[in-house]
Amino acid sequence: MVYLSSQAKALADSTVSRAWRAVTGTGLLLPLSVLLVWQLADRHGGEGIPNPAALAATFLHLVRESAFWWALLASIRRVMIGFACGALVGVATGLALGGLSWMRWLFGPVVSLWRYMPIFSLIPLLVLWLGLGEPAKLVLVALATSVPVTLSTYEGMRVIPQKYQDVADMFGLTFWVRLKLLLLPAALPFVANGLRQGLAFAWMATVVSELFLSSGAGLSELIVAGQEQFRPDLMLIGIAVIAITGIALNKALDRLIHYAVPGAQLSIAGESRS
Amino acid sequence: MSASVLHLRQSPFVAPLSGKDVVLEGVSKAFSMNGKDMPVLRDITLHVKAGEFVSIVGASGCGKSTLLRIIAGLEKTFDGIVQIGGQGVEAPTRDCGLVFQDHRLFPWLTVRQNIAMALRSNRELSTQGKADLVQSHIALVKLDGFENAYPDQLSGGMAQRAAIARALVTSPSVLLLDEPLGAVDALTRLHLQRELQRLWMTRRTTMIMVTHDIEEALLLGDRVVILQPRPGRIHSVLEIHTPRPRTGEETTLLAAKRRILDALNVGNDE
Repeated sequence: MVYLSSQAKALADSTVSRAWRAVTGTGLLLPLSVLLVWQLADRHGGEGIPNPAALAATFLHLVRESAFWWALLASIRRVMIGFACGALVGVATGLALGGLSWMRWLFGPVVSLWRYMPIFSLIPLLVLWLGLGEPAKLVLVALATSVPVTLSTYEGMRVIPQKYQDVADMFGLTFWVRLKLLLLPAALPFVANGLRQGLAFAWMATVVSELFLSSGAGLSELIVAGQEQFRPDLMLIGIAVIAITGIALNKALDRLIHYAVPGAQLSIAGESRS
Repeated sequence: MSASVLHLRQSPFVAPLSGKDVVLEGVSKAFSMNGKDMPVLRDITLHVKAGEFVSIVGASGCGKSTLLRIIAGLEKTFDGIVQIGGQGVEAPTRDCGLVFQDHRLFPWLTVRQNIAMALRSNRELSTQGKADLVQSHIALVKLDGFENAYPDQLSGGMAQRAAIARALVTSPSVLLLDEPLGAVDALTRLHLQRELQRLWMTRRTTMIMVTHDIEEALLLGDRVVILQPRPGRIHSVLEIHTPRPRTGEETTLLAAKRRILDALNVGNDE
């Protein structure tokens, strides 16, 4: 009896401590406490601010509707196409700037200003030229992606240690061979970094483009619908879904980079920074 | 020693080669620093015969590395004349190989890929010919079995051997060695010094080596050039007639070492 109860106690202890570690270890402690306090403070659900239980109900209702999934799919498709185009243009531009002296001479002085250009100020112009449909949104996402990708790739090309350039000079490597064997691999960690930044920008641009150019499906529909129907629960769920989708996209990209770039190729990143 | 030489002779791809002569005539170089010209080398005149091994010793800051970079064609602005095999040097050529103090292998390429890189601009060789040449040079520096290793998986000495193979695979007439063993541990250093001696005896490539290890300079050199610092200029040149292979223990070398130490001390007192 005594033996059994102590065993049960130990089991309960280990379950509790494991749950506790899962909460503290994954950084969920603060969000969960906030939700708990929020729920306790407002059990009945106020007018302007729904409580977590109400939000959960809204969410469970939403996921049973196909329109929600179509909206999610539309946003993801939008960010992926825009990001892919923007990344391609960004890497190419960054490589050209870093590898070709006449490109640097021509565009170098203005390149660093791109970082400070508010990309969303282009929306009215894009609407004027491309209308409210999908093309304008994709162009905005691609533009938002290309800026950090370009700058980071260019930066990666600029910090390639002179000692490796000397080696390439000694063996008379041509531009293309040098690009393949030295410039690209050396810049790769910077490109990867730029892509991560670019994806964050792309996701931001996707949401903003949907809010400003509200035609077609997209996650921002939730927020717009919530605004029109005075339903803050919809808006909050919309915000949460957008944030979580963004995190998931970022994780997926990290995975992709991890598989695409062998560890040995990343070793130069530490070297060039030291 | 004899075993490794035999091994080389059996290899069909490592052809015995002859070097070219290197002529330096009144070479001077200044870097501008804060708007002022800082002289690094002053009036260096040196004639290196084809197939000769010349060691250059001197304290830090006497422009040793700069001198090699000028011969290699990496430094393009200087005064004076530099010729390899009677041809003026304007840019790096296949005639001339350079081994740096740090191995400078590309970290994202394997040993094999790093050595093969040196042959990328060679248009005469077939793909198979290049692969054979790379493999034979991997064997030459005894890195068999490490073809697919990345540089950070190698010890310092092994990485430096790979760098030497990379410099030799293009069959340069002149091999410049910029403190090639400066970054490896003492034991590996002793071993690689003997390897270098073996390589030179087999290939008779003209070699110019910068070092601040006097014993290393004496072990390998037909002549030892002593540089004086600030600005770098030739203090004196010592001929070493000790027959090869040398062990470093020869009394003639020990006597020469004494003379170099004296010379360097005189240089410091000035």
